Amino acid sequence: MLQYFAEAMTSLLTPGCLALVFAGIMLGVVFGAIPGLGGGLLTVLVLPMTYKMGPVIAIAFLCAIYVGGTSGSFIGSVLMGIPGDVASISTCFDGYQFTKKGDPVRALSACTVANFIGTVPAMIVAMIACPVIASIAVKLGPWEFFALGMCALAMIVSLSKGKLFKGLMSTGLGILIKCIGMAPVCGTSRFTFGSYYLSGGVSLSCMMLGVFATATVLVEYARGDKATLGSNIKVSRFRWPGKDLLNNVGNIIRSWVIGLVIGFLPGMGSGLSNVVAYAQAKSSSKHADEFGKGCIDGVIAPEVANNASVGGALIPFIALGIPGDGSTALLLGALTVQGVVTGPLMIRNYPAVVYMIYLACIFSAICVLIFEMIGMPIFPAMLKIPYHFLYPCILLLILVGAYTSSSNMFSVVCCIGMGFVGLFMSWADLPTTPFMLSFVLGELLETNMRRALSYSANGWVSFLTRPVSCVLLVIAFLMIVVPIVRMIFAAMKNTD
Amino acid sequence: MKKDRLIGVISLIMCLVVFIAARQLKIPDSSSATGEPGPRMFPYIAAGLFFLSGIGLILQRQEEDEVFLNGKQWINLGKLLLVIIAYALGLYFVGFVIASPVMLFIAMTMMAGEKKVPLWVRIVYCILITGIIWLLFVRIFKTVLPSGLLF
Repeated sequence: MLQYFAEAMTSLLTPGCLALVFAGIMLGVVFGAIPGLGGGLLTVLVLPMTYKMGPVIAIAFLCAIYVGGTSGSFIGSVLMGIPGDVASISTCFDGYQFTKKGDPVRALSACTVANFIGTVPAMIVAMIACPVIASIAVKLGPWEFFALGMCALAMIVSLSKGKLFKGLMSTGLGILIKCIGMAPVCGTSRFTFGSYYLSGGVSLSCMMLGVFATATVLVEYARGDKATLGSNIKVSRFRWPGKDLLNNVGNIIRSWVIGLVIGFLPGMGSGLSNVVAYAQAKSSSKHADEFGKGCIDGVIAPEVANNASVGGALIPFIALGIPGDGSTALLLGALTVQGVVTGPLMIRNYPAVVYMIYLACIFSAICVLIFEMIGMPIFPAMLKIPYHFLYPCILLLILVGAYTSSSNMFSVVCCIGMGFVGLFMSWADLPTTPFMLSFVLGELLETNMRRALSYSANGWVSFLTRPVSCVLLVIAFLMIVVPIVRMIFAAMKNTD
Repeated sequence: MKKDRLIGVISLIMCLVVFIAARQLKIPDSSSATGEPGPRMFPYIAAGLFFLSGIGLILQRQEEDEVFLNGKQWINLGKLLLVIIAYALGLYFVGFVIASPVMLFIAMTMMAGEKKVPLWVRIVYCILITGIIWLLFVRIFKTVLPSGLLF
């Protein structure tokens, strides 16, 4: 283990890698802070740049963006009451009240340290848990992996709050787009319309750049409501939040556990953990009535939880090859492009990559802490970056990124086509995480399902005769059916 | 018709299209021999999900529609979409070096709206961004950018 750590450290400390990690952190924090963009969009934009880097350097860069983006999202929440990303939705409730009261530094300082407290211990837990879980997972067959993937998808769909059916549609879209190209196992051409270019399928870069980046820029520009952002808020230097932290030891520990566990569950992540942590902090607080009026407990809880989810989400990603959330789905896609076979054997086959993930996340968390402590006075300036400077540059990166992902113009056309899919999803208000995960997990699910059926003598029943697969499929089934049954009962009650 | 119901109908149409398209796929002999369902299975699953979501969206209690974009906003979106398509054509015909500053200039002018950005700032920005992206991709990441059909 120490040997791999030393190797990862050697790679990380090369000037090129360090420069990329610092750039990733700073850009991640800036993109994370700006509402409507977020660290996820930045990951999508830089994905094509990572193709020539090699897996170890590429993953260090992407991890820096992941940590920076998750950490930076509180800036918009505190200064404007608009979260930079879903990871900091709950931070708005109390964080923005501090800005209204004229003391944003207290909330910003607490968030900065809370992020660090959330990330580093969660990474240590991930380092310990991943080899243990992977050693169990190698004993699983295609039945169990199919069931695990189904369970992850079902969890995300069931969590599409009030949008269960839209979540199902989004999953269907993801699977359908993944079906384009050569089918796994048999190599049959599917939905290629005789096109040579489509036989390779829709690449992850084209899909992400089109569905997320293009659609985001189009919709955000069309809405044109960015003129009011970045009002004249003055932020002074970082103030050590020692007293606030000491008064919140229990809150921090509870929020950290919530973040880690929710991050670990496939399909869930920082978007949910911050909300749950906030609700728990409020319900167990002695001064619950202060929540929503500027209570520091309500700022610390979501920020510890969302960053603890980073470590939690990395556990199923590294140990099982199942992404914990949308961002780890992107990391998984990036590694797949690099030729890294993800799954339980990743720790054994690609130790340099795995240890770089741990190290890059811990290193990034430390750098983010220092960067945010020193750079706090420039936070309002980040939010004032004019959109007419930012969006044209993003548009350029989208199309150039699509082109460089395969060095042909068809990818650009494909990216624009995916932009229309993204627009449709925005119009229909379809949740994006089920789409992303079903696209990323599509091949794993299909390959394992078809392998399992060809290996077993009793066909579909084999999924139910193996205990682990059976339990996971029953959980997946209940995840979808229970909310539907509840909805039917609620509708019946209303008609009575 | 309420928006969710319309989305439900679209979902059902997609279900039908995917189902018919999946039925056209040939199941190879290797799949039949091993008893696995072949390449049709996953499109069928997608069609099943569309069917389930379509039925659910049509039958569920319909809530008030939120306006996604108003008329003017749709026009803005259409304009930017045209810029993107024109840029893609520009990349194909005249290449990155010429198409990019032109696209940046047009997009920036559109997005600035009523805000006054001096002409020299716009020109410097367009050249600078094009230069930085070119350096990043061509010199640092050693990738190829479109050189254009006409050059």
